[in-house]
Amino acid sequence: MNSRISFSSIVFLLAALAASIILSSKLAKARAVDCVTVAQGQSPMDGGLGKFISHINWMRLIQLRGTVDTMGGDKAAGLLAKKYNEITDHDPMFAAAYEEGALDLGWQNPQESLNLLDKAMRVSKLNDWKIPFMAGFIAKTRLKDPARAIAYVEESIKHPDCPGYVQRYLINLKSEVANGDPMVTLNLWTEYYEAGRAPKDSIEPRMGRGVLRPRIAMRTNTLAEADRHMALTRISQLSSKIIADAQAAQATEKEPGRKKELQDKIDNVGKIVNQVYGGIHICSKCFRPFSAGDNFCVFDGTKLQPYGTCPKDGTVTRDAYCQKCGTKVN
Amino acid sequence: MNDMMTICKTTYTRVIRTRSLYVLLAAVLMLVGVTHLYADLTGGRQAQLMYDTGGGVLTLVGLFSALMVTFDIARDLREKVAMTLLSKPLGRSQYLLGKFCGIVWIMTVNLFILSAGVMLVLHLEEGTWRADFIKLAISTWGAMVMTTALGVMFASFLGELSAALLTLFVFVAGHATAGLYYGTRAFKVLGGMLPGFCLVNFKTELGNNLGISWDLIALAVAYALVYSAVLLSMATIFFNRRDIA
Repeated sequence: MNSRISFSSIVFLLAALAASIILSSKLAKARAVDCVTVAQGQSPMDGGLGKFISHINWMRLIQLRGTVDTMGGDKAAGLLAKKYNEITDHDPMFAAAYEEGALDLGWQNPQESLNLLDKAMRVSKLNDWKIPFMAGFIAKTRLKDPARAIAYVEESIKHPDCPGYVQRYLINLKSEVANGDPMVTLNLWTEYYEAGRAPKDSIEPRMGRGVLRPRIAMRTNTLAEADRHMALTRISQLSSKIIADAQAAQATEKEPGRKKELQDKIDNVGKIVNQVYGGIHICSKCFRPFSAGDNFCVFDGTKLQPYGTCPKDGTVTRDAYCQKCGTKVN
Repeated sequence: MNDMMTICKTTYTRVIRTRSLYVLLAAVLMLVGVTHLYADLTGGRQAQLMYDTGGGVLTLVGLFSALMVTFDIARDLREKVAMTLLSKPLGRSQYLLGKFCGIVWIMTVNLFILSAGVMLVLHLEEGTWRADFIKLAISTWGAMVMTTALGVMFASFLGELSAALLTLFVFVAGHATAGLYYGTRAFKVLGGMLPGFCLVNFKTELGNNLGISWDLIALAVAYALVYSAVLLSMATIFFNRRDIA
């Protein structure tokens, strides 16, 4: 047995070992910021081939999916859940496996489906609004648990690329939890509309010449045109309904305290509507905007106080003076 | 130094003359290319499959290249070539370093050819150059340098089969130790002493277009090289104590 171990070898070994401990710690710290981190116990022994193996498992799953309907519900769900979990263990960023897996399992075993989506939400770099949205959708439709669905959908709307319909879905869920209370729902829609409003709000001038139907979006707002239209329509409908109900109740109510309460409610809704529409002319009954020159509301036939017309010849104008006779327009 | 380079060159020349190596590399590239036909089987994910197959193939080829060192050292010892070499004024550490450098050279050439081939195949598939594959190739190279050093370390005191199997086992296990680096200080120190292959593996991130910085790749390669130095110095100590007469 040869026993030539030089002192310098030992010193070099120890120095290199110390350097490697320091470097590994630094590297792990840097990885924690830039790389994918998963929950503990999710590191399969795949020798760094995890992503490649996940593709192989994905292809095998597609083949299996064609035969799985012949099995019983729970058995099939258990098998599919196992397969989807295997794929996502090897590649924690496999968003399609989480999403398709959740929809696949959602019909057979919603809890397994939510477990898969919960796992996806624990992956640090998987910033996909669809995952919590799907979880909310499954909790609502399959588990009939709107409170749980709200928690998921609230996660989804934190993502900047989350589309508007997810926010509207959240409004519907919250409204459902509040048993459809119109006042709660009105506040939710108002919040949605107001949240989309640009920081420096501005009201557009009166309608353009010859424009007979008003454009619904009156204010600068970051919501898409269709989303704004939908929000304002819902606000108008709900306000109209709340006020109509309150007025009907007021007519039959004898107690002054209760009457005042109803009047406060009407005033409050009026304030909300005015805040949303700003200085725009709206029908006093259905709370929808009307155009210059309109005498009756096109939605419910209510008599309106017209504006933007020449007091002499009735010409509709957007300017200070009538273009036909030069009369000053109010 | 010259003696070490001679051993390095001899090791490299002996392997690089093997024609089957080129056939193998061509077959592997073809394997990456045919993933283009997997559109139906993957549900339209053939481009991702191609990238990840490329990454997987780099790992496998690098791993097999690295494992060669365990067989090469054992063969030298079995065929008494090592004794002849060591009877000359050549240190045992120089012999081991020469073998290590020779195998790393082969592995580097193999990875270079494969990376260029895979990038070309990816370009043909996607119409753009996937420059991030270079990062993947470099990080894989770092991991394979570490694997080669591990192979040298095991081959310095074990037989060829046991050294190769143990290298393979540590390589696989080293990819599943990520939890150590995020635990208590004791676990972190333990993690630093073990080969952290999981730290130099960026396939999940790069395959999912997460955009890993060059700084991180450089840090990973630096770690791989330093850890290889640890393994090689251990190999030298073991080999110096080994009775090879």
